[in-house]
Amino acid sequence: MAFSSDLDQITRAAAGERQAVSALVNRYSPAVLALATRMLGDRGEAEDVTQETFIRAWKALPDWEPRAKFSTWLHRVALNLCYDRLRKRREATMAEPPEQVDMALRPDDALDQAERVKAVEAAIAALPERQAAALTLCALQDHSQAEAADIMEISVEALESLLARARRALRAVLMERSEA
Amino acid sequence: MTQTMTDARLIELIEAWGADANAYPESERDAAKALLAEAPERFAAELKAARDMDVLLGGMPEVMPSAALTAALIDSAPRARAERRSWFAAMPRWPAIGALASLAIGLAIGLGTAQTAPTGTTEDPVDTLVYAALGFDTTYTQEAAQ
Repeated sequence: MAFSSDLDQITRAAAGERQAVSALVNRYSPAVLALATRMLGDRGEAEDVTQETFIRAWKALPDWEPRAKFSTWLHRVALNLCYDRLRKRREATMAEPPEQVDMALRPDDALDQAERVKAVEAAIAALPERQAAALTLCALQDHSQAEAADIMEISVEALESLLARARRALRAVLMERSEA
Repeated sequence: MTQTMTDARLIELIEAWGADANAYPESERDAAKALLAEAPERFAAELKAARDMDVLLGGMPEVMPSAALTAALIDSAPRARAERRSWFAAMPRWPAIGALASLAIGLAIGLGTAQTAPTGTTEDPVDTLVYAALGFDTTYTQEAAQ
């Protein structure tokens, strides 16, 4: 069972056992990095967030309480770090508008796949932060509805609302760009 | 729990969770599937739009950490005490080597000086006893005294 396995590895990682540390990093860093990358739209910043998330995790491990799910806690920390960075970006007076990327939503469009990915990434990163988080957790990662809601500290109903708005907004942005 | 599914609620589910009914909340999944099976044409437009979005999002590549990032994450974790000791043990032992070298040089100078220094005699038996108690070789001084 993943949860008890987590607990065992957390205990051993807290004691400084490298094998357990590596196992936790290998298991969770891809999802944390993916979440931060989608939220921030910037690989370098996402790597910084991932590092900060794990540094906080290592500090928390010795006092870890088994009732919390490590994966949920880790994603929540990463998400809050992303929110902080997005807030700072908004506050920056010299902020420049994000690069506009041409995009077509139709799958049969001749748009190059790499460009399509870039455009979708940019569009997700441009969504309101909670919508981007909901979309990333539910549509791009394999989190259950309950887990995604738990990470975001909201109800499943609120998650559904965010998700619907995110998909609608994303579609509108992508359609607008494809028609431009 | 089985719920009654309305067209409006099904459209909400499609818009939020996509075209695949298996992604809908468990409590509403069966009712949603039943309504979709009953009148799929009523939801064709919503399903098409949702499916396009699903395909688009499903085509996003996975984001994988680089080897350098993985190594940095592992290195940022605290190490066990034993590992800290082994790390210390692996350090160059220059201070200890320096101390040993100083001792060796001091001994060499001391011995050299002792050979050239005038040798005194210890005729006093009390002195002899004290020197013997301190571990010095008193036979030399005793022979010299005779």
